[in-house]
Order: sequence, then C-alpha cells, then structure tokens
Amino acid sequence: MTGTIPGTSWRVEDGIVRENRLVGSGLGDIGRMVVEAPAVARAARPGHFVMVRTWDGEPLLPRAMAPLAYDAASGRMEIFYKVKGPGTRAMAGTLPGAAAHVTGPLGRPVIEGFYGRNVALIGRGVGITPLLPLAKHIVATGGSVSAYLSARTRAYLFGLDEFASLGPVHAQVDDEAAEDELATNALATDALREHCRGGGVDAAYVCGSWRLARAVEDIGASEGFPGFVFLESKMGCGVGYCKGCPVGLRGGGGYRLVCVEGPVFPTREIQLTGPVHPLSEEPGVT
Amino acid sequence: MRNPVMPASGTYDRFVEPDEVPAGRLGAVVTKSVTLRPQAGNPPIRVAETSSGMLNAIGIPSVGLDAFLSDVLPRYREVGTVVIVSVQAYSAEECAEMVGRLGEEPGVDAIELNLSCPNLTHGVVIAQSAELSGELVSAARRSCRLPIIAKLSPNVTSVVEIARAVEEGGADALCLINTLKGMAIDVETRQALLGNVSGGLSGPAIKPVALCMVWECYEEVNLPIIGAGGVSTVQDAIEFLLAGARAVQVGTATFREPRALKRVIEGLREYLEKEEIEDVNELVGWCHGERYVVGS
Repeated sequence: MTGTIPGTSWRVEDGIVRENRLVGSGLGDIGRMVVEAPAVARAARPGHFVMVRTWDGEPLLPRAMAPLAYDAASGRMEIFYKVKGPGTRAMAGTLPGAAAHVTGPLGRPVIEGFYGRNVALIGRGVGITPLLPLAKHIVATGGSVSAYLSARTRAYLFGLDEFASLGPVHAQVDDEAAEDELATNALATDALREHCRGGGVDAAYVCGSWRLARAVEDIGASEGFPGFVFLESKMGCGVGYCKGCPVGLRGGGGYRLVCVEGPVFPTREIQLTGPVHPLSEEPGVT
Repeated sequence: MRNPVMPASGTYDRFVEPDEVPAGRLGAVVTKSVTLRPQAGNPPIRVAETSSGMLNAIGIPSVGLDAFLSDVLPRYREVGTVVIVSVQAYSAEECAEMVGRLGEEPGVDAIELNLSCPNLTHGVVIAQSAELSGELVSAARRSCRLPIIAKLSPNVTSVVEIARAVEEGGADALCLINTLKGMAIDVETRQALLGNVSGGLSGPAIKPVALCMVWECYEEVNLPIIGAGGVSTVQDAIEFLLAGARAVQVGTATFREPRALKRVIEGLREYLEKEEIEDVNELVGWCHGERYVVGS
C-alpha cells in the first residue's frame, strides 16, 4: 500500500556526456559514463539515484542509474552501467559531447535516519556503485566502514582503491577463485560472518544480489544488527508518478515503491526475492 | 481552464513541484484513480517497454476514498487549478457512493469515471459494455452536480456505441482513450514480462488509434472530448484538437521527459500566436464538416 509519500527535491537538467567507454577486457558488457549535470550532482546524497537518457527516439523511457561518485566541484557524476537491453545499449553508443537528460536526485537518501557507526558494505558487480558515496559519508562523519566486494573480474570491482582508502576491504573475483562458484560465494559471506562475530558491526548495507541480501539479513538477525538493501526496479518515471516499481513487503503487507520510498529498504521488511533486483544482478549468484 | 492541457490519470502525482512540472500552469490536474476501499495494486513487474510505447499493469494501488479525501485531495486543492478526480468504482452502487461523497467536497471541479482500466483481475471492463457504462454514469449523474467525464476504452468494437450510452447516461464529456490491452514476452525466460501477464499499452504507439476514436466520436456524439493517447509534443496536441478534442491529456510522455506538459502548454501558446488564433477552440474539430477535404 502506498501511503503519503514524502518527495525529494528533484529537477530535470540537460547535462553533457563527458566520458563514455566500455570497461574491462574480454567481457565488455559494462560501461563507464561521466555525465556533467551540476545542479543534480550538487544535490545528490548517498542513496540517491538518477534517471538518465542520452539518446533521442527509441527506447522510450530513461534508465535509472546509481552513480558511483558525484562531484560537486566539477558537477560531474560517474556512472557504471551493465549493457543488457536497448537503453543501456543506447548509452554504450553515446559519444562524449552528447546531451544527457538527467532527472534527479531521486529516492530517499540513506542518510535520512541513518543507522550505524561501524558499517559493513557488501556489494557485487554494478551493485557496488551506490555503496561508495555511502562509505565516504560514513567515514567523513566519524564512522568506520569495511567493504566486501565481489565481481566477475577485477575491472568490475568499481571504486576498489577508494574503498581501500576508507577502510578494510575483502575483495573477491570469480576468475581468480576456485572453479566451484558456490564455494567462491560462500567465502564472501563467510568473511562477513567472521567479521561480524562479537559485535564488530552495527549495520550492514548490501547491493548486487538477492543471495547476498538474504545472507546479510541472516547474519544481522543472528548477530543483532539491522541490514539494508539497495534495490533497482524496472521504472517508468523514477519520480513516483507511474507506480510502476513496487517491491513486496513481507507477510503480504502490500508494496512499497522503489523510486520514492526507496531505493534502500531494511532487509527485514521486504521480500528478498523476486523480479525487483538489488541492482543489476550478476550471473551465477542470484 | 487556463489552457486545454492536463496530465492523464496515473501519470502525475502531487509529491513535490519542481519548476519543470509547473502544476499551477496546468489546465487541470487529474488524480490517479481512487477506489472506495484501499487496494495494493498488482505484483511486479508492472511496467515494460515496447516499440514507441510502454505496457503497464499497475492495478490501481489506492489508499481508498477516506484517506484520499483526508491526505491526498488537499495536496491537489492547493495547486490552484482545476481538479479532476479520477474514480474507479466496481459497481453502480459504489460509484454513486464515491461520487456522492466527492461531490460534497470543496475543491473538486469534475469527476473522471475510469470505466476502462484493463488491469483489474476481477470484474469486467465496464467500458466494454454499453449497458454497464450507461448504468455507472447515470448512477454518478444522480449522485452529484459535478461535471462527469467518462473515460472510455479503445478495446471495443465500436467506441461510438459506448460513447452514446454514456451520453444517454448523463455524462458531460468523454475522455478518449484509455490504454490498449497488450502483452510482451521475455524470450530468455519465456515468460510474460508483466506480473499480471497482460497490461495496457500507452505512448506514441497508440496515438493514431486515439486520434481516430476522437474523430469518430466528434462526428457521432454531442459531447466535448478530452483526447488522450500518445500525446508527447505540441504537434500531437494540435492534431487532437483538429480531430475534435477540446482538451488533451499528456501521460506516458511525462515518464520519458517530465517537462513534456510544460512544453506542450508553451508550444500551444506559441502556435496560437504564430497562427494569430485568439481562441484555441477555433481549432477544435477543424477536420470535420465542410473544412474536411478528401485527399487534402
């Protein structure tokens, strides 16, 4: 059920694509785009996302993106996107200098009612990106972060060096690990579980896979800290108009809208499965 | 109305008002459909993109009429423009109750009866039956003095037949059209893209269908028409006026570009100035009667 929803203050800005290329070698299905849209970039806070359209004509709708970084001084946002459909293919084909229509910042920033001083951040693939602004915020306000990052290859561990400058990082890539992918995945959550033992963590934020989100919920429940998950969803508008991005509440209690009531939700409140994703799921771990 | 441009129901909401979506400059605001009792809406996935359009199966999430009146309506009232409340009723009795209560509320200027949502799992699409459409409209007519706009479905053999039925039922205006029923399938998963399997198609893809239905109803029915369906630009809006619409609703275009409403309003003003037309109503129905030239 959608009740009275507080809105964030968003705007529509005609920005410019400053950089755009595919990253990594061999796979080539993730792009990095730098968009200059100063008004949106300056207003963005951790947890916010933007709707981006860098093409004319088809496809019809803009795409929701969670920037890895936004810089108030340059007015630029750094966006990583997985090329998986007509929208992200259109993004991949965009040349620097092209117009970028940006609506944002959208959603509720995490730092509203933020919980936790010693925070674990768990991200996989493109799902790592929204965690970096949060990590910076936590450290800047006197907290500590430890990051658990995983991806298929090192090139997809976005912001690895920056995470490392902020706190301890447990990083893991599939192509450097054992053949058995499940064993690989177990290591990431085992490391988290080990770290959490004895009260070292008082909140965890996860993004990038339902499996990781469920693991965070389990570990948090046994160790006594709350978990939060960043979600993405198919969206019509991103601003609360179309009601097209519901996430199911546990116990059949209706839905919340990812765009205006999220995109971050407590793991104990929502159904940790289904077609709404914790951001661009990577193959093999869902 | 200060201009003939308004959002389509379910494509606008009163949370915040960025400069780019100037609610106070809209000809009217139209609410998301409200139901008598609260309902959650459909499970995900609710939206899917198609060629030049989108499918939705939202299922009308609604806080229910009580909460609508106390929490939602005041946010619309404060806009300072015409407020049209979209009503989804499941029976003539329910319709009478809802419209009766809305008719007593200050700040409600008109009722749009959503007779045509294609996404509800129970009941029938009222606007697919001339008899049911007429019954619902007359129930609303007897319950309030407000202008009643009947929003009709394109998923019918003859929209004119339904339009005549709501005219007889006492409707004051038509809104043409709601979405076209459609579906899309994910080839990888071999499953329907929408959680509800089928949904309603909107966007530029349906504009010719909507335009034609407006044209037909202008010929055959003596009610003012609000045109809706794929209006994205001022050119689209003018086409609808020429076909016979007195006003237009902009819907899916707002999802692509939140400034779409503003651009249509400004574009229309510029067009009227350029063409030296004093009253926008001079354009309405231009493509009919003696002005209509075959092959022109």
